[in-house]
Amino acid sequence: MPLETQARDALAAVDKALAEKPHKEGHTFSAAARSLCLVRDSLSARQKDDAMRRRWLGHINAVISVVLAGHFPLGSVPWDEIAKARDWLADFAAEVGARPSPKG
Amino acid sequence: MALWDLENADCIVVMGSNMAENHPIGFRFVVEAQRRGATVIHVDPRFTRTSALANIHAPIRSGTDIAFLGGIINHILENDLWFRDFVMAYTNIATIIDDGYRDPEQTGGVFSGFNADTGSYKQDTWQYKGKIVPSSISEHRVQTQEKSKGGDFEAMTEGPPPTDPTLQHPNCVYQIMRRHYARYTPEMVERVTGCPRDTFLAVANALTRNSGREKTGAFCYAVGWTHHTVGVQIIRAAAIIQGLLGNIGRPGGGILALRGHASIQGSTDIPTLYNMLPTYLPQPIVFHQHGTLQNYLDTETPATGWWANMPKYVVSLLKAWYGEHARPDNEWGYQFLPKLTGDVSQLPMMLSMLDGVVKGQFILGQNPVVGAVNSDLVERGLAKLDWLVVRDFAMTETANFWQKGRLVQRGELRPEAIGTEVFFLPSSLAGEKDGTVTNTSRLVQWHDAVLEPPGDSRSDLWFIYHLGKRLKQLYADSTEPRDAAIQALTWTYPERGKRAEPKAEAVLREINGYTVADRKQIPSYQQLKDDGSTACGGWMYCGVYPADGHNVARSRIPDGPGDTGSHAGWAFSWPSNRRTLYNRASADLDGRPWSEQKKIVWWDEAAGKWTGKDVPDFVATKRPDYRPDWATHPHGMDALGGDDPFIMEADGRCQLFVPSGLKDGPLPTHYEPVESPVRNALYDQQFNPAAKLWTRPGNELHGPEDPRFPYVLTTYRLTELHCGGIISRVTPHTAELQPEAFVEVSPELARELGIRHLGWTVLSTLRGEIEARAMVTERMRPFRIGDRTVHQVGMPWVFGWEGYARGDIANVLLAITGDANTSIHTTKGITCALRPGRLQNLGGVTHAA
Repeated sequence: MPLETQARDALAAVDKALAEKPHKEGHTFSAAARSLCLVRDSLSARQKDDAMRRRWLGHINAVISVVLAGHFPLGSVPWDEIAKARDWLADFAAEVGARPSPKG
Repeated sequence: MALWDLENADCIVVMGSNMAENHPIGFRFVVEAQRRGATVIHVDPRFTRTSALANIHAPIRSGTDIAFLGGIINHILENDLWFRDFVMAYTNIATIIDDGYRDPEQTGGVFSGFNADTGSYKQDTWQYKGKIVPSSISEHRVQTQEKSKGGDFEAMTEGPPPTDPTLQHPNCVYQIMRRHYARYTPEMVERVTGCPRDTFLAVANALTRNSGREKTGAFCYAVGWTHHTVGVQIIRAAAIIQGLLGNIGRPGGGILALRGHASIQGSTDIPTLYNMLPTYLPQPIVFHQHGTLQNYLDTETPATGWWANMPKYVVSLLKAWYGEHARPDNEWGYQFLPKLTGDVSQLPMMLSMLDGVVKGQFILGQNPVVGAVNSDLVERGLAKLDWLVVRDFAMTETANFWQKGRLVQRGELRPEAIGTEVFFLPSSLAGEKDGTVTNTSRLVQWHDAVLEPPGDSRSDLWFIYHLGKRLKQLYADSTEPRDAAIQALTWTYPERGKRAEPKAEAVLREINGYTVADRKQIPSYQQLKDDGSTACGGWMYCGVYPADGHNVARSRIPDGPGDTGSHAGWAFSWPSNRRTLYNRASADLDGRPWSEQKKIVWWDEAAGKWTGKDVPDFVATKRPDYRPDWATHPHGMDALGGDDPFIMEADGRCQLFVPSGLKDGPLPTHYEPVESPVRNALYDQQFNPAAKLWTRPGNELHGPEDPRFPYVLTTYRLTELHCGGIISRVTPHTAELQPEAFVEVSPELARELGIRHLGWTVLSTLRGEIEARAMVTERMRPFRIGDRTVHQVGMPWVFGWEGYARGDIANVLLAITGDANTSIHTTKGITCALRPGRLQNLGGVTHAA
């Protein structure tokens, strides 16, 4: 699956979590985490290790870390932070969409 | 309290533990106390060997401990059985709580501050009126968004918390507790717990009769308390009882946490826990104001009490870890520390494997396929990893799940489809390595290797040390900021022998601490500084290695007859080789022992200092009549009076009511277990509203009164097989003593279901099904709960498919749920179905004929 599609799927999953604001259940955040990790794994699997790949990896890892705070909160769920992470993800998806898919 | 101090108790309540079987070495002190006349009580769903040796056995339905203990609190308050002089002076019983506080009695079962949308609490209305009180635990703040210094904890320096010594104010702690526990009557205790009213009263009377100025009582607990979604609150309930009875800081008084391994205490002190830096310093959190070291210290350091010293401990820790790379201009290396976003304890970690978040796993000294809850999900998670490293001295179920696992045997996973690369590495046993264990008495005890480990076996220290060396080598030339922490890490320990074993004593020396300039060992944590001149790997351990060549943990000098009985020459107990925490409370307001036979420390007026049989847990020269000068806004210990013994608390008082630090309420409240065959008789709220739950496919929960799962199931250990079991299941001598898994069933339930002794049964939950032979025994008794009979069954969780003693894994049945405060899993008081017969698919386990 193209990275852009994966990123859009992940964005939809995070949007779903933000819309539903679930608590005491694992489905919604689990789905968001899984889709985000697919993006991360795709980036990790790319053989070309350039600055853009590393920056994107850092970007997506940050989003994963914040979304995990919703899945496994330390206190109340930091919805505002998750909303910010959602925007980072949207920026990422837009950037990915704007670039030709790198080979390898 | 120290294990050996149990013999000074006049009453011992063992609850949440089968101490005689699972802690037999410590239980000898219970036996000694009983020989001296103490009353021994065992409160437990099962009648065990501990029950057989007790004076009273009080059976309760699993998961109803707070109802039972709350009943004792009510009994103490309503019959005026509390130790008034102690309680009025040393606890917060007279403190007035914020006007906004609302009790579960008023709100259908939740405290004020509960947000139903998030399932979490804010603590604002639990505070002392006009104050914001920092907690005494590592997470001084438990919410994700907090104010900064100047607006909150500083209020503690402006004057003492408001109190009403007449105890008439409706929002003083005394009145709040009376209202909160008013319905926890003996009759209600019987209705909820199933314990007969008269048995409950016998326990309450024995405990209160044996407490006070001249007598003391102790509680001993184990995972029978902690493995619930209300585990911390159960312990809190006992703490309230002990506070009311004056059983803290005094000989024979206290609450003893019986640990499940030799060094569980040590792994909390120098932690393998995600949310703590060594010796109970808070791990930085991204969403708190922890962006810089100064902000972290400003927001986390309590203004009053001993924790005001936190900056000295944090900076010294950073110096120990990062050495010359910890400098004033880089915040002493603070930015090298990872910052938390969420809960990354074991349960989330397992779930994150399933989601593909976690890609690799080291397993050292654990066997989670057997020991972690929801074993099938654990297997599925392990099967999602890229790599798995298991270190153990014999093959474990965790290491060969891909080959012999339940899911492989059932055809749900295929070995060739599992991508996990598994590395199984042999590890050495305790006698093959140097090191320490820290036991439940906070006693750090050194042990020497007595022989070399065979073959390729290596100590865990060897493995971690050499792994660290290789990682440092790997990242030596990296320019990535994320690798800077590994580059900066001090990792130079002397090696010995051909195997290059690092010297464990060098690690202990570093934990103890030293002066940076001349590398001299530091004898006490009072000498630690926040200016970078001292390094210390764990401030509470300072003193364990106070000088070159002086390893106090090696010391083995017991007290003889006529000595103090503190055994101060035996190893090292943190902090400061102190045996009894808060021992200032053993003396009255004027510094005189409450009684001659129950004395530990006292004020020596002539010498102008505290003295006695133990190291005083107080500022040595602070007079009993010292009072803070509030006009100067005193900080730290200057803000505590000479009669405030609980120095880790911001007000120096035993907190009967907890204003900060707990995520599920300031007072223990009875909630049913998440899975229960009955409705909560006390509140509309069925179970702990702040419990950690993660329902998902494979981790479904049973609703209350689910007729498909009518029986209460609890799991436990056996004397003969140790924990995850592998060490004793591969040893013929112990394996033959408990050769096969079994489920304990009462004769009444066996008759009802047509189960015969030693016949096969199937236990099932929504998580999975297993089979085991039935042990039909009167040790299990049905409970009368309201107008219903509730049956309970019990099963040891120590079996698996490896070794000589085999059987299905009980943890297949359990769900992943967590205590609201600690994320500790639930292994007690779940529900299940039971039927005679066998599974169609045996799951690959070889059963004894």
